Amino acid sequence: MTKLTQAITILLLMHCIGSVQANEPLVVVVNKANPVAELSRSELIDLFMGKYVAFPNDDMAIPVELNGNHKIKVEFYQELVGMPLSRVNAYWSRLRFTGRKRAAVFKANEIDLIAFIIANKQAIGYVPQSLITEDLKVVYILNE
Amino acid sequence: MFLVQYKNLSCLLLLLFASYVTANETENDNFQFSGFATLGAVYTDSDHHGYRKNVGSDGAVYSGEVDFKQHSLLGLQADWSISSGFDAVYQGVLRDLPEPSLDRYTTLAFLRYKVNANWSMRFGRTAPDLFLLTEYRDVDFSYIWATAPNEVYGIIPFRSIDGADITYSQRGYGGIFKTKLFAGSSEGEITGSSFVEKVKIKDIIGVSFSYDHFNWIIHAKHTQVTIDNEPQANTLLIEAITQVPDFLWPNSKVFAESLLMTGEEVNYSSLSGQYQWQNWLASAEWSHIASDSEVIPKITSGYTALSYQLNAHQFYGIYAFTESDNYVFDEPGVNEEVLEELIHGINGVMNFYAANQQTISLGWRWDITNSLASSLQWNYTKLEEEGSTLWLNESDHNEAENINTFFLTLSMIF
Repeated sequence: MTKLTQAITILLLMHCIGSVQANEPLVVVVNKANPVAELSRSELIDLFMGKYVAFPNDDMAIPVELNGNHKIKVEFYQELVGMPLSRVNAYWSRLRFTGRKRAAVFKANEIDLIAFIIANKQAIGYVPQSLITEDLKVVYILNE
Repeated sequence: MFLVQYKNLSCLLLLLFASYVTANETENDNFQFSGFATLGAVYTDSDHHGYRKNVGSDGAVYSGEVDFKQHSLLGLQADWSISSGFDAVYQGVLRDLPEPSLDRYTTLAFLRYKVNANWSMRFGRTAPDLFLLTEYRDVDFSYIWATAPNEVYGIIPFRSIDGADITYSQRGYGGIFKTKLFAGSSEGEITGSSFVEKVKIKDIIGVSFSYDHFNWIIHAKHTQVTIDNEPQANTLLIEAITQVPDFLWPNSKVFAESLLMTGEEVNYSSLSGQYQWQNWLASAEWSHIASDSEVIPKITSGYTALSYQLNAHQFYGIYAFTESDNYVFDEPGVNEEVLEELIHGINGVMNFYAANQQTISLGWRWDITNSLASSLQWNYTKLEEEGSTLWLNESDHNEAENINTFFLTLSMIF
């Protein structure tokens, strides 16, 4: 993908951001060049809870997170593991501050998160369904 | 002393501040700065047994005092992702220490090589994986309780291991199997009412197994270490015993040699499990310390805990215990009347590691925000005679006592 196409995609995303519907399905996406077609819920839990940070073909994954208390992040973890973000943070603080796991890559908003996934074949993240572009591949749909 | 501590503290803060500035300026995904902190207040009602977080603390809390030193700390961490396979981590934890130094404040400093999804290796300073919580017992935000049960964790003075570890992870049967092997050496302090002993261990070899099925997890750990130095109290006692003439104590030299700790093995074992269903969380751990040394008794400890979550609030109860044999001097042919003071000293050293107590705890954790929590906990401890190692005694008062201790902590991550 050329830089121009990437820039147009990001501009389109920025336009869409304001019209993201409340409670619309969240989707887990990867780079379209990633050979993984779909993931199970337990594989997603392993990935985002730092238990086994790899795709089913054992290629290493780079989970991309939204910063802080982003509404989509709160909704994602409630749907995925049924936990409030405070408990997810408590769980991750165990992994991070013992040095057991590398922390995820953090992004300030959905646009930056999508741009990172488009640029990294190993990246995986979650976005509202309306932000999917042809450069992303959906591997799981939550709260359908 | 104060100047040295100030200098070490300044160096650590400067190093971490430089990391923070670098991370912010570069806005680089490869460099992250984070931390954790606890502001903790402790109140207890004992005049004789001073509460302390672990045996490495030379300060304690007595009746009528409100202490902020035992549980307050600040942890700062820098993570540097060097490449897809390599990353480095540095962590410093500022807290009240008996022998403060940059070395003691540094809890993590390692280079990791992630070979693939299954294998990873770390070289440098890592957290000790002796029991379930020993790696993260100071990260108070990470667990529900105001503090990890002293019965199991109060006896461990080590905060890090210098060496290497290798971890193998594998998916299977709907969960993740993990095996970790680690090796290295470590140092810590053990304090009494009037002394601070440096404790060195070497030839640490440990293995840790876990099976994680998300809502339930089991761990089994075993570590073997060799004591690498002779505590000063031991050395003085051995010298005193060897000077006793034969007519007062035949074969006193044989007994004195049996007190030597250097080169003796100590084994740490732990089995633990956790199960979560709906709003309930149950956990339990059994741990055991066994040694070839005559001075260290067999110590069996454990706890079981249950918590219930109601929105941002968690209510919990814990029962914890620790048991060990008490030594009573019973050597044949010894003139105990003449050597009364020496025998008193022998009993003191031989029972130094003897911990015998049970605690019931009730608590409430409130997640004020997603990264800030407060915990209020009441401990009711039934302390047995000659079993108060986990507490600090200002006098020879070693009698049984029932003690109430209250904790109020504010913990956060950032």
